[in-house]
Amino acid sequence: MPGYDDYFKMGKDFQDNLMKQYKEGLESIGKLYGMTDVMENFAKASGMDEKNNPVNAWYEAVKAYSPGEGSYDAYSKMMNYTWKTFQDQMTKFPELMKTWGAADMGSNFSMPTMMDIMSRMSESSAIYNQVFNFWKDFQDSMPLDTPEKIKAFTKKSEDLIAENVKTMMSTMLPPQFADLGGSYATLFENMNGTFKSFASPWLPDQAAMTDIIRRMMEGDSEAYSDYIRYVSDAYTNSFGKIFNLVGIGVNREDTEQQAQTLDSYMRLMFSYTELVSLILKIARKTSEALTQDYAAAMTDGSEPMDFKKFYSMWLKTNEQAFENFFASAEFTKAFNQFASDASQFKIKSDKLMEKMLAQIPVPTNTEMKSLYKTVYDLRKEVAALQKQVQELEKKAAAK
Amino acid sequence: MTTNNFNNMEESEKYMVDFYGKVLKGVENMMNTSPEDLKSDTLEKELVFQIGKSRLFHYKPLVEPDKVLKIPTMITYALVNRQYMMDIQPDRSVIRNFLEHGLDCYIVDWGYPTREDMYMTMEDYINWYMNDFVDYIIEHSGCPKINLLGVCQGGTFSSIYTALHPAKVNALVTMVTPVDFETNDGLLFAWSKSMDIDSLVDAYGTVPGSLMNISYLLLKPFDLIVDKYIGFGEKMDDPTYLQNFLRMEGWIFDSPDQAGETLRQFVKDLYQDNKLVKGDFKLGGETVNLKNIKCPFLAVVADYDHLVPKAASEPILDAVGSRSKKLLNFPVGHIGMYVSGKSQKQIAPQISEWLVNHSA
Repeated sequence: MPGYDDYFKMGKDFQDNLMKQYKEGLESIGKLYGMTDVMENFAKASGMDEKNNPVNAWYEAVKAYSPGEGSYDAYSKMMNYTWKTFQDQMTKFPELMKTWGAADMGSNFSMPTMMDIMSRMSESSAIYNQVFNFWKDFQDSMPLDTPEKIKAFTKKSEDLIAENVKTMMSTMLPPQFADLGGSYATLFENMNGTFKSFASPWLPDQAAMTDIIRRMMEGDSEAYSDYIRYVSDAYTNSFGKIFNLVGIGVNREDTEQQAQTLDSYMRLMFSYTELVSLILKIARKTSEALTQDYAAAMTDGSEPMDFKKFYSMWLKTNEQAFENFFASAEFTKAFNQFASDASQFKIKSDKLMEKMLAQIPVPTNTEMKSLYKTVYDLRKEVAALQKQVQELEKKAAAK
Repeated sequence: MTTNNFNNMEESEKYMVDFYGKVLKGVENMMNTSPEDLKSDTLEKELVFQIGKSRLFHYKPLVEPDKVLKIPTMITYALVNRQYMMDIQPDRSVIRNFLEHGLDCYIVDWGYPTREDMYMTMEDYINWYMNDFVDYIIEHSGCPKINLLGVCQGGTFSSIYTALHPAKVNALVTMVTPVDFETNDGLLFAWSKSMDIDSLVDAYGTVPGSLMNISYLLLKPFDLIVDKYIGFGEKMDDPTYLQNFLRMEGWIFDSPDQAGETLRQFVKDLYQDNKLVKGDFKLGGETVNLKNIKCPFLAVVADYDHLVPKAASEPILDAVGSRSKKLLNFPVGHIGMYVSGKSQKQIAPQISEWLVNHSA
């Protein structure tokens, strides 16, 4: 029967092999596209070097955590690592707290001042200008009679809509979130930055990952959603489990709470990036169709549209595409997942904040909620009693 | 082709130059606009009763005392926006129209809930606040029954109230009111079905109105975030248009936070489980049967309503038990019901006329 060391070795071998395949996969893609440096940097950024590999720390800790072999040391070693990772993430917390605090969200949409309206005007005008310049460029380049020309314009159209989506999101969301996904490039960058310390060493199927990256590089917009789902699943099966381990020791409650908060943050990042990737996918498809339709119409010898007509077509096409998309089950699922994860993160980070506040003499959220409930119950009771008194007074007056 | 392109380009560039010229002129107009110019809710009215943050106002009649309808009408607006939409500006005021037709109008202002109101339930809003407001009006008017006019969610509340307290309601009017939530015609209906409302309410206590606004913007993102402001730019050199726009803009984003427990119940019992038309909805332990609504009933529906589609508002006609019932539908949107030209010329007068005819 294999002993603990055998299992450890099997796990380690599997992991080493996985990392080797991963690196080789990236190298081969790099060579294929003449981007060796980029891929090497990607490997580094993904935390694939030995020194930063959390898997090693995990295995070391688990190894030592066999009965009679210093279990406390092993556990604390593991939690120390987790805590350090968590602390790194915690540096971002003040910003996140601001993002998800009701007051801050509210400030974006309070009664508009003239300056707010001017700012919205200016954002819309920026989009209007971009569409105008695009249309102008289009007219100058007519006829679009070769596949290369159409491809080039489709790309311009995609860039335009990506920029528009970013501007629109900045109108709706607090800046910390709006900046996360204006284009596939920034989306990928942010996604990669978020998960590099956590999920990448745990990827279960290197070939699948390599294939997704290849598709992304070839411009397949579906691949971005696949990438995010893939990474999200890998996280769920790796650190997602660690962060939800049952704690032990004096500070187990704190440790659990901290780990779970970080877990909820990771899940929020995944669902947000998935939502944005879906939006960008629709934006890309719509702009492709719009460019090709317009180019085809012009090649047929139709009169070119003036800008107002072009803008109207651009607006209607996009609005219709997004209306259909927003009505889809795919969007509903992603949107509700994002909203749910955002709420869960707020719940957990609020509780963590309460822990921090416990040391200073201010009432906590839980205490205030309890107070609100008491006041609410009392108000109802007083109202009911007042009614009784009024009834009695009426009866007395009638006698 | 080249010549056409050139002419086209020249015209379009001229249009863009003109556009920015108008924007510049509009900015000048904005600088000369004072908050006083943008006031809504200007009709004279008196605060007559208050519970918590909610207030009941009584409008001063605009006709001779002997021409004022004897049976008063209480207008109940939705919790998610402010009731002054009904009196957004002097020349676009549904309330003014009602008053000019002799209606004796009261209006409920739900106020701005704060975190201390997080435990307020639908039962509180309907069986406590609304009921006390109705009792106040009954007591002070001397009429044993009053008319209820509910707008959007306020119409849902008014329907539930009438079903539970039929003896106090003479006639019921619902405007753009969701009652059958089975449909997925409107995006809000589709999204709400699988929404994790428990987490949202648990996270915020009172759910920020700003969050609700984000979902409203998503309903028509290009129209509401881009084109609306381009359209504004094209006309903002006109001071009257500018002021009307700013007034509306102020109203749109003036969204009170939502008492969490009320929102939780509204989403779960209505949007998700559609209990009201199924006859399974309970309030304060009592089952709400819409067939108990036997008073004269008028449903006013908007044909192009993207917030409350007709599939959600029209079924109320079959759900109520009234023998005298009528459906009025108009080719307007949800907001157009209150601010469009049709609102002043057709909608408000027809509602007034119906109420007058059913308040004998």
